[in-house]
Amino acid sequence: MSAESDIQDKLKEVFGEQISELKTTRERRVFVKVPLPLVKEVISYLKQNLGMTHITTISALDVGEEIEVLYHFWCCGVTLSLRTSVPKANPVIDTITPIIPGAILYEREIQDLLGLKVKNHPDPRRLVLPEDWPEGVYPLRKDYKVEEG
Amino acid sequence: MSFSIPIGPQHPALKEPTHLMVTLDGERIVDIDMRLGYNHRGIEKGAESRNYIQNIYLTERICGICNVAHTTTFCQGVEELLGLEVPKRGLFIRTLLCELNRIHSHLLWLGVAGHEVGFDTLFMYSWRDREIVMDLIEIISGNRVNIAINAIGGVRRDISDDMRAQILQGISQLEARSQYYLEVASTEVTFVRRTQGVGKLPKEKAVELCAVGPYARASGVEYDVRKDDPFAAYPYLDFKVITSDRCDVLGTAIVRVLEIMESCKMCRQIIDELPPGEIKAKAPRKVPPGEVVSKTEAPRGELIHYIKSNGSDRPERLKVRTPTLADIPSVLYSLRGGYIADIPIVFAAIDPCMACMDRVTLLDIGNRKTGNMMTWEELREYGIRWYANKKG
Repeated sequence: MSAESDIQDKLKEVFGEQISELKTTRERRVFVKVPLPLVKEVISYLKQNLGMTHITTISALDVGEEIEVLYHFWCCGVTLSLRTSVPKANPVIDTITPIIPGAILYEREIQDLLGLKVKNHPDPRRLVLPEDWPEGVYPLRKDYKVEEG
Repeated sequence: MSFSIPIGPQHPALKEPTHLMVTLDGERIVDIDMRLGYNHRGIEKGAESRNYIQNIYLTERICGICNVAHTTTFCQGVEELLGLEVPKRGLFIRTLLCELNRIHSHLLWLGVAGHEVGFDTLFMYSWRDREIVMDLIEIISGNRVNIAINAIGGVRRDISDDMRAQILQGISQLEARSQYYLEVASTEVTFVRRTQGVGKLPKEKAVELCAVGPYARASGVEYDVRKDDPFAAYPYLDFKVITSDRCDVLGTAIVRVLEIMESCKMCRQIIDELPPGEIKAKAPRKVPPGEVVSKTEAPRGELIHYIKSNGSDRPERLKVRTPTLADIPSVLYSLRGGYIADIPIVFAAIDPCMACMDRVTLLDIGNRKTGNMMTWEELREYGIRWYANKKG
């Protein structure tokens, strides 16, 4: 059995209908959609049962009413992208740093640039934006326009 | 009693702006904190308003040193979205440039490491030898630093038989030199005493904090995208993933020198087995809606681009994570408990990306002859004349 379908089968077996959009786009690339409240549980499961320790990064993107967050992991020889959606009206996600300590800077980065609030983060200071950057302005949201001179 | 001292954002020991707040007890580092973002240029936002062709050149400018890694990651991502098959010859040339890029980056690092421990002879030697690989890169691409070799669908320049001979000759020289550097890095007292046991990063910590690249491999983490998630022509190549169980700065030096030797081997294999045929497939300008995770092993480690397309000629989103960011938590860990004097070399162990120099283009403004390019020979003679006049 290939590693890709192995991961898919295990996730389906444990989380059943709660997870969706499970797909293998090519060799070593698996995507899965997880509802927001289940994110930590799925990550803990992957860490404890499949030995997943490495997060490559977290991508976040503005898709209109929601912000999509993708956690890119390296798990059993596969790049597993775990996708979740957060409403823009209440853009709060829970931290995964206690489970995967390497996520600490990536969570700070998406706080700065997409305006997500990472709850319980051990160090929620700004990472890349300057000190005098205005509050509530998030450059990677689509409503932020760049004036190119 | 402990006290805190700020280092940076502008400081003689730093090669590019960053800010460290170091808490000390005597000479010992009790705690260290870092502030990033002084070089934030908004490239991800910029990518959304540029088309895919323009974005090749934008991503190339994320980092001067590992520019080939960035364009390779971006181009192969877009190729996957297009379902475009790159001709094998194109993949081989792309991989050759990736490896030459790695050799120049590692030699550059070795020089910086020598400089940081006060061993400037090593710096002079390795930067001199780096010119061999810079010349090879220039022969193939026409440029030394930002080489613009990649295109969506393949590469922009082919390799002639004449070039093949020159590359093989250069590679032989580099192999001989790296053998010498291996001896220096592992036996030279000046270097070993300053790096052995310095900046300790145990394997568990490297794994836990998600370190990447030669820095993680020097702590025994056997993770290399070229092997584990092969791209371009790496599936066809025969090479080893270099690791070390030293878990210190000396380990990172030995891993990098051995990686130079592996890279030389790969370059030789690419030249010997270079398949005939086209170097580039024709790519449409518009990219169908989709998303892709593209990964490569840059000289500093795992590099990722996440690209989302929306059917137009511009990406909806481009997310980039460079290896230096991934190594920051680990390097802060390894600095704690060490000596303040070791900060430059421990920090250098991750090879933080720094601004690169480009070649000289002289503008003769006095005579209104602009754009007067000099050949290498002319530039050399000009330099000799300039110093002779200055002395005399």
